[in-house]
Amino acid sequence: MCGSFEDGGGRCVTEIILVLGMLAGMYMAWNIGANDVANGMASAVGAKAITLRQAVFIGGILDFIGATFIGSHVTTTIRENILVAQNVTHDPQVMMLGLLAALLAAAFWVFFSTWSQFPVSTTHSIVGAIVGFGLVSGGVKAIQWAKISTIVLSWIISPFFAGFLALLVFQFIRRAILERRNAFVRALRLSPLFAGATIFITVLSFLMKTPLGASLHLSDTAAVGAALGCSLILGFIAQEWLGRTIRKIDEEGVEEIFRRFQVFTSCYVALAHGANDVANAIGPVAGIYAMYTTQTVASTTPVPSWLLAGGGLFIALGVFTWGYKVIETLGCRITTLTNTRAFAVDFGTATSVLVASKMGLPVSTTHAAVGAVIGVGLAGGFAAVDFKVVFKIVLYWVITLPLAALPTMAIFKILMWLFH
Amino acid sequence: MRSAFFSIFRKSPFEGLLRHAEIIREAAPLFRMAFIAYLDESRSDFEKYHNKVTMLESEGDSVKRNIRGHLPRGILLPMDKFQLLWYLREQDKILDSTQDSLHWLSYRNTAIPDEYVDDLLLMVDKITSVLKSIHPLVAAAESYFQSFSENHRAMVKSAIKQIREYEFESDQVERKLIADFLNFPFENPTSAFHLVRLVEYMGDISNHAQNAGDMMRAMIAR
Repeated sequence: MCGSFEDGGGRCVTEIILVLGMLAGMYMAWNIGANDVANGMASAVGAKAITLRQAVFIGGILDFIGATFIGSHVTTTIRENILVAQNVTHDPQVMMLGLLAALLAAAFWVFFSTWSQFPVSTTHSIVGAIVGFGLVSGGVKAIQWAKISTIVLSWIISPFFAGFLALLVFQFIRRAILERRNAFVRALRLSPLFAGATIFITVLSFLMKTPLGASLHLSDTAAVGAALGCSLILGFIAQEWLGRTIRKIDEEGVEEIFRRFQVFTSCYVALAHGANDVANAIGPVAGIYAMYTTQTVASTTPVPSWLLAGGGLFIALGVFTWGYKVIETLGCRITTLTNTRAFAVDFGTATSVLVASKMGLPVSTTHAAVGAVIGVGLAGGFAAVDFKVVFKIVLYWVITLPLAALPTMAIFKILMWLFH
Repeated sequence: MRSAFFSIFRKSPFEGLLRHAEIIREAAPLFRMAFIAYLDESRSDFEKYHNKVTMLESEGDSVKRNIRGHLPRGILLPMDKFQLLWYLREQDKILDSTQDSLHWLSYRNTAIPDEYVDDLLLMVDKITSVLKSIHPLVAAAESYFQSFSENHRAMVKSAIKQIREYEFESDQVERKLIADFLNFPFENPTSAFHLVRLVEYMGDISNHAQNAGDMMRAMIAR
């Protein structure tokens, strides 16, 4: 039987923990892919901008590329710094078991919510799980409660902001294009504005939100300037391209213009998703791996490229397996989602995620997207939106933290009993 | 963002409204055939068409209940919910009045004076046109609420205008027929009462269609 670190026979135990951590990380990555691919792709499939096969293929590939090449090579061992490390533990093995327990509990919760078809945030699941580990190992003083309050705040701020923005965007599209005579001509005339705004948000998100963008070390002003420059040039190029290639007129022509914008935003969401959310699965694995190699508890951990690629691979596998099913279900269900409406939702979501994350709030794309749908609904964009379902979804957001935290405590206790 | 996210989107109430309008359209030729059978004094044929209209009315009621049942308190629609419910009420009353006309006609065999048969058939034709004009209105409105396009809005307005014209024409025939029946020296005054009330029931069909059109106009108002 393997012993602990202190008795010198712990290598075997830590190896087991490492292997279990890897397996749990793969499982979590698979869950993330299965769950969240719908974030960017389902609306595009629903609005018939792309086919289901294209969505799965593009989603899987872009998620993999995002995770492997744009994902962060340095991650905080304890996600979002929500724990006070010195108050938790100094024993690397305990920390490894804690991270393993958190990973397992978060993965189970995300799996359960996918199975019961409810949208929860994978980021908040892992945050909740780590809070659970902090509480059971270091008590109340181990948690940075201010961080938790910002998470609660983000439940309110990001959906409201995304909703408001989506409402404004759809109202503008409605008043300035759809309700006018010669809607297609007006849409084409205004296309540099929409293409420019989309490109502006995409480039700015890339520069500010993705780890690769952050590694360029651009100041906020320089990033805004670069995004503005790109959007101005590409906006007018887009107008020229749309004018030359679209062979439809009236409402169909307008939808075709927004269909193309929407394919672009969907691809971006898939890429950014891989880049940002791969850390939810491999962050704790990287922590376990670093503690296995260094046998110390560090606040930040380097993430080896092979780990990022592995995370990306399992996210892509998640997309190809359950993600496929999810998008298929959604694609059949959303018949009311036209390209103009889907564009307003995507734009509201992407912008609010960018702004909120710049404000330091751990926002969830899912939360923002729900808010954006309500915003377009308030602008009269959808045939019927059910607030009862919205309340249920909000309930799932709220219970994500405790329902990820409580199983973590139980799993941690079991793991401690087994391995420590 | 799994399927629950998309269950936020409920079924469009226009799917049900369109089905209801289809039922009204299906009732139009049956209504006309029932009248012709009545004028031909073919009681069995009349009852056959009468029963078919009664069955359609019952189906229409079920569609109406389904639409109402899917508009719970917390629902967000591109139009005012109460306007939509009011519109549905008026559209359903068209079918109710169609059924009521045939019910009323079935209660008694009244010989229609020869000189008024043509006018009564003209009234039946106007009502048939009204019954057929609801479906294009709902279809145009459904397209409008999907696209918000000015073209589709113009189509809705044109469908409303068409219904108003039919209502105006049927109103003219209705007033003439009522005056004629009240002044005709029937042997039994019950005949006059039967025919006058019949024409009033038929007039209700076009009145409710016009009310539905007015409500639709309010729904598409900017």
